Amino acid sequence: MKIWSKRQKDVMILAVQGRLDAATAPLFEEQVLPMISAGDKNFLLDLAGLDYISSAALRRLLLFTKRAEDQGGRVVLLSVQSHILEILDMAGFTQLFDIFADQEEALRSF
Amino acid sequence: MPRKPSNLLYGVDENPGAIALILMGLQHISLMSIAFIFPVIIIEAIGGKLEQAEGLIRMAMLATGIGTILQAVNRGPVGSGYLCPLLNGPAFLSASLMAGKMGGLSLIFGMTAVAGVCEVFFSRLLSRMRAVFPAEVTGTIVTMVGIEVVPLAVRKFVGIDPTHSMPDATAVLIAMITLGAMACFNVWGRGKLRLYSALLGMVVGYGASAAAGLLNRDTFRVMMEAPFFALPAVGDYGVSFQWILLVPFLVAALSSALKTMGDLTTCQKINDAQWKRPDMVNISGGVLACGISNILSGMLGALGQSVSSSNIGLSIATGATSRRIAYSTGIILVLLAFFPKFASIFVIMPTPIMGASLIFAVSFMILAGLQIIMSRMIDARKTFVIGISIIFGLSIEFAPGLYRDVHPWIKPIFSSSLSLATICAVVLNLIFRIGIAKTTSLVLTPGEHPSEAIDPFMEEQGRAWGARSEVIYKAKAAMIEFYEAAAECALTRKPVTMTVRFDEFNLDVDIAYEGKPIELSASRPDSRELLEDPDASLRLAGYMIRSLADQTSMETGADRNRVHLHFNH
Repeated sequence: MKIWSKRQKDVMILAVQGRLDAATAPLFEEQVLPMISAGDKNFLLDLAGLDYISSAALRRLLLFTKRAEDQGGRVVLLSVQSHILEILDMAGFTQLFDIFADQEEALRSF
Repeated sequence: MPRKPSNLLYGVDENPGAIALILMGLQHISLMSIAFIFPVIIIEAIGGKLEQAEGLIRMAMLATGIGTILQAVNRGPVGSGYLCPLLNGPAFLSASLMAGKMGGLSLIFGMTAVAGVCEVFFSRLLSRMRAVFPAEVTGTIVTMVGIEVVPLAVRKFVGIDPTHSMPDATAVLIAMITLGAMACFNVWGRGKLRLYSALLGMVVGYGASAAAGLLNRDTFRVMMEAPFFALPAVGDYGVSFQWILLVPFLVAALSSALKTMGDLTTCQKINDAQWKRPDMVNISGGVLACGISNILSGMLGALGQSVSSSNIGLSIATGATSRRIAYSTGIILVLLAFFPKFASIFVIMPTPIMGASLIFAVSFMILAGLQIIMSRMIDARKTFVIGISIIFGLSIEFAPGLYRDVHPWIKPIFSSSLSLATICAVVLNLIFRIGIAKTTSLVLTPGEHPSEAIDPFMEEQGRAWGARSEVIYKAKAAMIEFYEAAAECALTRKPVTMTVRFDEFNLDVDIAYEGKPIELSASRPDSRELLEDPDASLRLAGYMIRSLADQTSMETGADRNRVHLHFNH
């Protein structure tokens, strides 16, 4: 699992690539939670490169979102592949996140 | 119940209306008219007269009209229920030429009827031959159905016909204008413009041909001299039989049946957004319709018929697959057999328009075949089945004369790229099935990374089995969910055995382990529970496993548990 980050105005864009499972979710947390501590609160998660996500990782994703919202921010999802979307939908996560196909539109939503 | 794909304007059960049915029927006949060249080739080869060729074309219209209607019947054992027109295609050409030279038209018609009887028998066996025709074999056949038409299409596109042996710049220009118009109407046209894109392109082509002087007084003389009404000469030549020709006609019947199988697979796929595998019972009905049509052809005095791939390409391109179009096409064809003046309009179509029409339709056909191939995971075995079959199929087109000296009995196989590729694909598939285990196990030891073990194991098995990638993905996800939950929530500290079984319709995973049973919860925890309740993670994993599988069951022993996951394939 790899994460590329880029800030655009007050939104932190995080491109996640590879697999998010029980083994890699702690690494995800290690990289993104300090960003909230450092003052970032709006996040755009670009999941175009995400191949797989397990329920263990979904729980960490939820925790990350809760922390951002506690700071008055939001987490939105971008370019979710169909098989990942099916997993998110199964877990009820599509009701918790705004999901966009277009980055400009996603950025305008903040 | 098939689900109509969104790209279709009129699905197989829909009614486009009377005027649209007539126009679309004419559009299909325009494309089918290219095959009227085959009766002419036969008559020329046996030294017959021009009037005989004209008579044979009218008999072709009568017999293929009835055949097209029979194929579209969707009740009872005969017919597939699809728009899949029949024509005097190349499948019977080689055998018919042999028969014609040996015993004239009566022998062609007699042997065609016998081939029809063979096809009828073959249709009864098809439904039991599912294992012989997996997706990579049917996809290869459908691809080759399109590729086989390419040499004819390209020659006609550049203006080569019986009277012109070299490419002609004017012909190429007209073909480009025609094809360009068809593509424009199809890509940028909406509604009716897309529906009639081939017909409108032909009209543009006729205009360009007239401007270039390709349509002159001589062209129209054929039409002017033809009588307004005449009864078709049914059974005038009689029928005869020669044992020596049985094998070539048997092979031709087999080629025709396999082609029908490929074409009907395409029809099933383009009419069902959720298509997974060929419906062999439906295909049996379609091959039976072809067999009966060939018996009828022989009795009436027409050449052997097989389904027209180009017309299926046309129905994909125009987004209209209604079986009522098949009925209108069939009825118009039968009527044309009685009105030679109108029938002659289709005989005088300029060569470059024929070429452009074929290329337009074949483009869609080849893509349909490639999509069927790629609907399954591919490994080295399947790569060889597909690759070798296509290569040897193409060798007939790339190296003309290579198989000139094969025994006359098996010549039909080696005179068609489709037949050779089909035989190769079927035989290679049977050979490469050797050594593929349908049941296999994976043992995961404590501390092992589940993704690193399960992912490559399932990918490799999926490719060997030719499974659908989305089903393998779901099974993988459920297996990883289980192992992650088992490790994180300490369900077990001993090895976990995962046994996977596969057949064309089912993928079953048995997970056996010692430890605490897992709860496959019917309800998922909400976001608050996930954040606050430590047990919610295990419940979510259990819920995900249950949701990913189509069926789940559990056996709980004293200290040994079995989780069974079933996935529909």
